[in-house]
Amino acid sequence: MNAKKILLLCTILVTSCDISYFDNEIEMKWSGDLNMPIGQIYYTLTDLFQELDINDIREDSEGNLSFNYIESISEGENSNYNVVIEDFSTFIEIETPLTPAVFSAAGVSSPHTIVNSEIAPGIPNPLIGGKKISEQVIHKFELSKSLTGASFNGGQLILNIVSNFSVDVNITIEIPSLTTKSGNTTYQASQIIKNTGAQLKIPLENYNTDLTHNGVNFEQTTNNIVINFLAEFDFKLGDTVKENDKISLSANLTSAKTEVIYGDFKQESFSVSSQSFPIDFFNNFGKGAVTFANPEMKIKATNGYGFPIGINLSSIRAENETSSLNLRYDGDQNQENMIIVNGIETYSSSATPVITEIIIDKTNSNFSDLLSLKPSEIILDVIGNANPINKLPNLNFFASINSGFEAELEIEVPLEVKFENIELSRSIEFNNGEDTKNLVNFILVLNTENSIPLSGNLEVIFLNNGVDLNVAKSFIAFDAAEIDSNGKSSGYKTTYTEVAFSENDLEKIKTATAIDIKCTLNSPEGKNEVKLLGINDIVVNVATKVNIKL
Amino acid sequence: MKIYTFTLTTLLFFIVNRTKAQNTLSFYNLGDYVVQTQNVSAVYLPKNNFTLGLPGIGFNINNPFKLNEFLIKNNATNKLETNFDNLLLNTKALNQSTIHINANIFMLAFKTKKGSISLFANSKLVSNVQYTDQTIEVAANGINDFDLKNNQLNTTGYHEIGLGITHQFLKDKLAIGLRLKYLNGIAHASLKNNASLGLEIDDTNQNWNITATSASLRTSGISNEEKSYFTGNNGFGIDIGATYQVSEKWAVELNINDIGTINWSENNTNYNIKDTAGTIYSGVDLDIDGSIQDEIESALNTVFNATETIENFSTKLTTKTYFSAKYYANKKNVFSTVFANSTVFGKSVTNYALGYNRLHKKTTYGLLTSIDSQDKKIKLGGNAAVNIGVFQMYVATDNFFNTFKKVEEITQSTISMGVNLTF
Repeated sequence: MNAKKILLLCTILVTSCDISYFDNEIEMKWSGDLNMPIGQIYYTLTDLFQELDINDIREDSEGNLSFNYIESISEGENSNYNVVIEDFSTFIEIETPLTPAVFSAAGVSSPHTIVNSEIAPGIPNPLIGGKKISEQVIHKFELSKSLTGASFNGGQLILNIVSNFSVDVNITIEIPSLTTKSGNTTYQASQIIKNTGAQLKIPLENYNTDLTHNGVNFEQTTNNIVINFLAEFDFKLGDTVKENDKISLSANLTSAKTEVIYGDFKQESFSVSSQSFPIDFFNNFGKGAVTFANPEMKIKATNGYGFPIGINLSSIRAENETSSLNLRYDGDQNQENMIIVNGIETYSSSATPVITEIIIDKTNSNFSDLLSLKPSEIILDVIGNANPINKLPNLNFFASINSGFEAELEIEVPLEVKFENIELSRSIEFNNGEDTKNLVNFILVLNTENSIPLSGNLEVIFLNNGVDLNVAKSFIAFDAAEIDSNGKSSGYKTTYTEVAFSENDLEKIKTATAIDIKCTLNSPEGKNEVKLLGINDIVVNVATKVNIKL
Repeated sequence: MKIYTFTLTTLLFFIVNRTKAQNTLSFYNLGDYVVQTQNVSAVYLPKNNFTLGLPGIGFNINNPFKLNEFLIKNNATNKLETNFDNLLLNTKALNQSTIHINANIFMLAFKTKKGSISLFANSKLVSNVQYTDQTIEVAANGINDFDLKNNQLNTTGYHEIGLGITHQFLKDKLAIGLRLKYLNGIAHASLKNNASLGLEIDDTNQNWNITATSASLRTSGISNEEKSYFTGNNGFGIDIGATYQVSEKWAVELNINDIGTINWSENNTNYNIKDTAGTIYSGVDLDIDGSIQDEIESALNTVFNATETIENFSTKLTTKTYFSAKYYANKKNVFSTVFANSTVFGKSVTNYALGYNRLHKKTTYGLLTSIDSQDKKIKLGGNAAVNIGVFQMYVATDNFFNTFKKVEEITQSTISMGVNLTF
């Protein structure tokens, strides 16, 4: 073989290599599994409530949960109890006892200066001698209430005595309606009045008044003030007398201020402000029934007034979007739907308000039913009145300085509860459709360890701008933990769930814009209310089994 | 992303370099006729006074699968689609592959009175990979239980520039050749010996139990940093050989090639997973404000205890030894037996060959049948070096039938060829 033939052979061999295979474009194709744990979510029940924006949950030292709301009710405008004793003036006049008949009997005419002790021998002059005349004036105040008394802390009573007698007149003024605060003695003043008159000023701040005097006795009437006016004369030789002599008393009460008034306020309405407060515990609750074992509403009322107040609770109601239910309370045998808030029985400036506590629970009301309504709001539209038990008369008082009325409502609902298909819903924006584009099959693996005595079914709904994509998945997320005889969780319940998404499902999910998640909670089957503890927890281990296709 | 880079890099090397060690026995038999044989035999007693080697190529591949077993043609799209499942079907429990490429950039040789002097520049890729069917199973099926053991990787790309001298002694009976080589590393990737990585997935909660031993991948020059032709990874190597003319009819030859070291100091990234007898990965806390994906990546890095370092390291070249005995029946015909040996991942791989060459003044051609210690298959190869004027063409292969198959059907191929100017 010569060189040329060898060269030809080599050329043929080298050029015979067929590399047309590489003319084709290479495309990466791959499918495989990715089985891996994603992570864990750990929630105590307390955490879960916080996650649901329920912030009114309280946990006691034993871990018992309750949701609590506190709301205050204050009084409205009750100025009608503050009765003002208005200014008044009254007038008493005593005319001379030396009437024209006396002058005639004396054989003289008025005016006359007594010069003879006898008009005839042995016959004394009738103009000479002592005389007493008394008058009484009763002023009845026009007041809105029937007051029996008061204690003044301001104002004055001015007594003006005017006399045109040319002789001295010994007058006595007694006001049985006024007694001193210091000695509880009746006001009385005596004075000899010259023909110029006199004025007496009584500072009322030193006096109490009893308005029950009818001119004869006390405790006979109300709103009365009585003034007795007594004039004593002693005519003597040399006195000049007239038949028209008189002495008068005018009494003017001005700017009276009272520290306290007493009386019977009857069953006067008592204004209490309306309140309402939201109950956000149920905000996340959808359909389903919830029953609480021992909910209660504690009313702690503070009454600084001198009369009991009745509060009608029948207008307290629970409202949700579609319905409402009024409270029915029968804790007081005499007054349906009424609670009685006692007042201060005896006035003193240092008297402390009376606190009355009343618990409204399932034994005396339908309060549990109000909560089963899953209300969004509790309306406290209460009505009040004084003297709910009318004693005829009622011994009430009203102090100008008082602590007023206030009531604190504390709703405490221990989470000893029965859930029947209670739905919790949440909507989540979803824009991760592109992340699923290479997934052929997707299995979500959930392993839960649950010590909450509630089971949970999850429904996951994928939506495109509100339109259901029909890829909903419903599955048991966690089974309820077993409970002990006290209704408390007795351990952990493990649940294994696989949720499979087919390639077709994933194709639809790519277009999803939102995910609605519904969690349906149920108490253990066949059990009554269970106690939910803050330490009850759930651990959700999330893993995936994915088939990826590139 | 450290662990992803690690995994990706590993897979990349597994996929691309599915070849195993082989030698160029037929090319070796071209001997003194072709200057490029100095790359396998340091002794060069040229037939020509002066040779200028033009760029040529020599490569040996030994692949445990055919390309069309992995790249399946889709007749509908006319595209070649990767198919790891098919690859897995054709994968043995333990697979070894080699790819050696020697690109002769420049070669200059002068004949001297007692031998030769040559200057040369080559670019080489030496890649040895060993992988198990478990590895392919991961590539094919994704992340399930796996236990990756007995996987080995050692790939080095480098330039060598050097000077070769052959000198005859003992009345020209003994010829000793020595080549001194400056080495410049281009890229490197190697797994630490006995590296293993295991994953056991709990059926119920999918938790990962991770085991790792010596899981360390050293790399250099494979990052995205801008590369220059020469790097700062310097080394030195030698080839040494000797022939001895025992008698007029018999001659023996011994060559030890690629004794040397490259110090990798530039653009290094070493990926390490801390040894663990069992670390559980159970996911992350999902109650966070940030990205869960970021959290998972961070947690995986923590669980794998993956670290990246840039420390320098050195690697030895894959040394090959040739021993041959030649029987010159007459001046025109020579019979040879060749033993070629190299050590790959601690195991010796030996090829045996019997060859015949017809000898002319400046032309030679011949046949060679060889068998290697691993697959025990007999292969038929041949070689030729032909001069036409000043042009010398050479070609050599150890396996006719594989080399000239369609490229997608080839599993083993050895060919060296090029053109020289000889004077």
